[in-house]
Amino acid sequence: MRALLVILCVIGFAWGGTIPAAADGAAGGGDIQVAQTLGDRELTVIIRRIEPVPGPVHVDVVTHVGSPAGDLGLRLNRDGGTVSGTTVRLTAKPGFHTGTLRVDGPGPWELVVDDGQRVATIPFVVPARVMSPPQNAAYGGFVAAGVLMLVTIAVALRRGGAASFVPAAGVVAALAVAVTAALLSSSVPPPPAPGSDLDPSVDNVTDPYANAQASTVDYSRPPVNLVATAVDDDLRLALTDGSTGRPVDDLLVHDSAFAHLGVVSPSGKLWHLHPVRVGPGDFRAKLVAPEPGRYAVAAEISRRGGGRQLLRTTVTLAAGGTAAPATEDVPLDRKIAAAGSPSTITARFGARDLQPWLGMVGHLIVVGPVTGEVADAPVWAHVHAMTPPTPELPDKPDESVAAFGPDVPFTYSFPLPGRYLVWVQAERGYAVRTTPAVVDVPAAGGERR
Amino acid sequence: MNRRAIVAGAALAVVVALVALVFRGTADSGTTSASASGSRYTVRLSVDDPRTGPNSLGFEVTDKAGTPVAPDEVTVEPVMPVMGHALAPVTANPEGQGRFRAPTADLPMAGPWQITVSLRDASGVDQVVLPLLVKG
Repeated sequence: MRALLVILCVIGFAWGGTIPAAADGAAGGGDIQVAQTLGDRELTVIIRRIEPVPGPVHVDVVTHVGSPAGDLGLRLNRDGGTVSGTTVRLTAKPGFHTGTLRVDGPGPWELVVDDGQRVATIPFVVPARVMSPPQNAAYGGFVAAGVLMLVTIAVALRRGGAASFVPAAGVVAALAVAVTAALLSSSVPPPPAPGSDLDPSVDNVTDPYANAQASTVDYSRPPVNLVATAVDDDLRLALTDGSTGRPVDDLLVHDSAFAHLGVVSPSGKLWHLHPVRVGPGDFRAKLVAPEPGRYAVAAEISRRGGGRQLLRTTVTLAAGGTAAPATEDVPLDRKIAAAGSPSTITARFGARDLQPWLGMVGHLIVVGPVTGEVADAPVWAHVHAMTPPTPELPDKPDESVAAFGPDVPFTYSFPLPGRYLVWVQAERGYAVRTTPAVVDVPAAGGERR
Repeated sequence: MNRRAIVAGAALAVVVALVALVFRGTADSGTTSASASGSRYTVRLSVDDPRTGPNSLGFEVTDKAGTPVAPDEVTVEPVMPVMGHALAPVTANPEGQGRFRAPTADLPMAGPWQITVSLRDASGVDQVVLPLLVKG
């Protein structure tokens, strides 16, 4: 009987300790932040962590300075059909605007953002709470051990002696299975993630372990071809697969956007936009050219399966307006080294009130060396200044946190000597502040300037 | 003796159930299906035991309301995205009531495929893309 008591204690201890810890490791989603250049508005759309499923979905729409007031339609589509919709009234005051929608199950979904003129779709995956096979085995093992324990006690009391050894052996076997599975569950690799590794479907989101072993090892996909054209007031990006020519409809959100589009005019004005998806491989951003000529176009994207790529092209635009992107004059502290060595440019914003934009405190766009037309510059770079760790904020801070700066350093090794155009970008008061500058990089072996 | 046999049998049954539970995740599922919608049509793909080599792809085409409809032509273009490999499109045969079948679609490799279905009718072409996992 004493041995039985010990075993019971072990079971109780294991139930209390091991298993809930393993269950907490189940897959779950976080917030999804997507920057969207929708018409005249630069929006940040945040889909808050969805739990439980089915359940409500909270969507925050962050507007920025200069964003016109108006109604924004939000819809959640599944399989081409609208499941829920709401309207968010955007005020002229920049900041957070919230709408609540509803999902009725896990799987691939689309958030439709409709401003009345343009319709953007944001594909995303609503994850299911799933247990790995070892976790199931651990649960099952402990349940079986518990049941067999009762059987053992019943047999021992009624018949005694040797008969009780049979169910007791079962208890030991079930415990062995459960403990082994519980110990293994932490070391079993996670299955390929639907959405980021595999094309998501309801089946593979609901049970990602079902066909985990039948998948290939390398999920990366071919590079992408970018063709930029002007359509009405929009710059249209046509993305096609570099191997099959099919539209690329598997972009992942990285650094809070599907595509980070940089456009530089012939006279050196920068647009940093986040084209919206209007169809498979069809992304658009409003851009009215203030001057005619060849514009440099660069898009940073990431496909399903991993890996980021920079797509560069040029587009010839006719002048359609006069409005150029606003700039500011933030003091820059420059430590420029020779080509190939790290240079540091520090922007001094003066106050500790910067907000993270695209998950970063600051962005530095580098184009150069410029010898003739800007569109022919061989180097394009996008340097980040990360948000420093904030112990009081376990998650990545969103734009509601205005507590960064005042100095934003960027270190970059200019690959070639020559004259570069650089732009420092950071957000303050829900407005992205862009400071343009020209940097002359000496050849290696030359003196510092 | 008889009762002891019953107890032993019960214990054995529990152990078998336990083993079944452990290996539940690796059981073969048989028919794979997926559905997706374009702007006008909803397509449901079902494949019995997708394997490398020729596969018979069945499609059920409905309008957005769920009524079976038959567009003028249904073509099937399999692509394996991770290999950057697209196959020549094949035309699916109508079987009535919105059902179509591509009887010998050759999928030469195991792994995740995308099956693009183009549905042509008087007002143009509607496309849907369906995922299909092919086993070795």
